[in-house]
Amino acid sequence: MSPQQRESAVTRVEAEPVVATVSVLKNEAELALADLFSKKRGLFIGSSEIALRREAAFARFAKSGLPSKRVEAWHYTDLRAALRIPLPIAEFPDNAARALARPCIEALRAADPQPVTRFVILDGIFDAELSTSHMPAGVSVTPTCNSLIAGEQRAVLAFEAGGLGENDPALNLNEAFSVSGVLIDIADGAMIDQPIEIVFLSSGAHRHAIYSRSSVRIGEGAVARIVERRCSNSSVGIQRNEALYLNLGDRAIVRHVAIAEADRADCIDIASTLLDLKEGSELTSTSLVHGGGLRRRQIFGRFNGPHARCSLRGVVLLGGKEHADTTIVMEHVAPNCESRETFNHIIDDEATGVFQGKVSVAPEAQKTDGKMKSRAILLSETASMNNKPELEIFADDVTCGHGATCGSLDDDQLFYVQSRGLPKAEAEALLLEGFAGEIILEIANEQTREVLMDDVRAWLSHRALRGN
Amino acid sequence: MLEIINLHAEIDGKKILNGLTLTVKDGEVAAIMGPNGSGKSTLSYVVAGRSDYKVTGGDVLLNGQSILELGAHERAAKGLFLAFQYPLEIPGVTTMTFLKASINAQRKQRGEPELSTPDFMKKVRAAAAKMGVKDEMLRRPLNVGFSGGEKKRLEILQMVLLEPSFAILDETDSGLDIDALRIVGDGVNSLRAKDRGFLVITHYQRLLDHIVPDTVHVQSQGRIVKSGGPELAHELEKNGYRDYVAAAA
Ligand SMILES: Nc1ncnc2c1ncn2[C@@H]1O[C@H](COP(=O)(O)OP(=O)(O)OP(=O)(O)O)[C@@H](O)[C@H]1O
Ligand SMILES: [Mg+2]
Repeated sequence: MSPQQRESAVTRVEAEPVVATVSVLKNEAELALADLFSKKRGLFIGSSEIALRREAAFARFAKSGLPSKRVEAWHYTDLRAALRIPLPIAEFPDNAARALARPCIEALRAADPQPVTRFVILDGIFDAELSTSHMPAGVSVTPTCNSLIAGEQRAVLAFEAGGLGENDPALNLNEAFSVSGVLIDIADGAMIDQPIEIVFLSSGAHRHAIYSRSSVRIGEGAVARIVERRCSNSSVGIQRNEALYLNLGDRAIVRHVAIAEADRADCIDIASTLLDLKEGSELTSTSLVHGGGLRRRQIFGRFNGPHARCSLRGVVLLGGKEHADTTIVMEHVAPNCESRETFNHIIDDEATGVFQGKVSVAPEAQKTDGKMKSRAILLSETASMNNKPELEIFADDVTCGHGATCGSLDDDQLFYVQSRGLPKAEAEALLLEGFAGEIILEIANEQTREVLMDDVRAWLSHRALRGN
Repeated sequence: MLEIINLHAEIDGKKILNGLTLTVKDGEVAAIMGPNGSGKSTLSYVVAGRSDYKVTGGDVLLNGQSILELGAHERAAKGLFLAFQYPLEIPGVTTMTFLKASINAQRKQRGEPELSTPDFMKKVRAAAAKMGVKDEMLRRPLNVGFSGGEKKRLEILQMVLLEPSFAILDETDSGLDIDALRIVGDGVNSLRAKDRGFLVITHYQRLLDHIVPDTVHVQSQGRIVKSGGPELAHELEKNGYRDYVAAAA
């Protein structure tokens, strides 16, 4: 597709009335970010093309400012209110950070002994020592910073990311400030058996802001499993803004699993996943997300070729005062593609869940099949869920739909399980396990499935111990 | 033995059981018949311990001990089983997982060791084969997408595995084809024993052809209004409830 066509699709999306956001940078946090950018702009690594991209991205950010409630796409996650003081950008990990990181990686190995090809992004910087050194045939890797220094085109591609999410303020900050991450390339036709795991790890050694930009190009007809894992070892509040661009070639097949471990209450974590789907490609993604102070997982996807399929499924487990936002925008600009979003939230205590799903269908995307389903079980009176599914359809021959439900556990089901001998707390746990299982049991790999279910069970038993 | 003594119960302020009295002895199979809405399922829920029903009078004794103060799970561990008229779907929990959780939850309450996985599998496979339940079904989430008849078979499979001392079957025959009716009948008959009682709620004689009851009772407006032997079921099939509904009013 030509840039013009893409441009016109984007414009159409914007034609929908949005809440006006006329803000010049004015609050302290925004001024601090502007100050930071002007101090750093001459020091960033990368070609002049990258420098221009950073300028443009920051200019877009400057125009929008930090998103508040008044910005529709961020209505339920007020970043402007949460990010009062931007922390200094993370330095290259020092010995203290590496020492804290090592046990985290050991723990990952112990929890799931399956052999994986692991790439560790420690405090925003690719860490070769913690990562796998032997690459399977067909896989090549470059740290983003090396690629930037060498002025390679693939760094530009990772920053450009097909223009996905280019109006998102958080992603604009990410493009402006990221200097590292990892660029992975899977050769055309490669069949990669062993999962490729990208670990976004924060060491907790320092209070800082982490930005990173990574990408995986999955070549034409290649088949791969990709695990995206967010771990936080933080004993201090940090701010994370990391992006991963998954670029699927024609007929590429990707099974993707995303795991986000629980984060501290004073952490801000924004993870952006950018999905570029070409003709006949297929992405199946399953996620298990725990809560944090302010956590947002945003996925911007686009079908750039016909007959592609994308299924995004997720479980979100929240308790305490946690907040987690899942925001998905899937753009159908090619015909005959299929998108599915299926998310189950379990929310306890005073936690808040957000699911915003938008499927937009351009006039040329005939025969689009798009379905969204979001369900939430609230375990306390003070738990809350905000569901906003949206369809924006400009083609006439499509099958699209969405459904959202929110409520407590079903009394009839509870009685049924109790009547078989399970005490109330165990009956609840079994039903909740099932609710999460509906999503997780679809994972083809049994071991991965069990690791995720164990994680859910641990959360449930922890909840039981808290005396709910 | 199950003794229901002058039981009164209501839900949402509506009185449904009005002084129901019925004793089912060890080794006995009792059948309850009665018009729609007469409170048969309500009776089964109240006995099984569903907490949204309020018991306003009377008592229920299982093997001589009052169970009204016990939770549903405790009643189950004491040997009570209810085959639901409308079995619930439990998404995301495979039938196998559910069966194992049930058996072990009861064993735990009784202070017995948990069944090992191989022992459990052996037991389930044998019972499933007997009930015509395929392996594939055991790996599916419980009752999700099962046909009406498959759900009822699964109820009986659960009963066979849990080996209750008293079982209530609420319209287990509805939705069953002729072969399934025989399989369910055989399942129940195989459990008939000196120390085990059954209360079979049904609308039709056809189930009672397979599970021949010792006693038959007519329930109307929340009470037992007539009791007799198997011949009473035949009489009801011929004449309907007209006489008894009038008598209860
Ligand atoms: N939550 C409720 N609030 C008010 N009335 C209820 C409630 N639940 C059940 N009932 C009423 O209680 C009565 C008895 O219902 P129940 O299901 O026990 O009848 P049943 O004898 O099992 O009928 P069927 O033969 O149709 O299965 C019915 O009139 C029903 O409408
Ligand atoms: Mg009934």
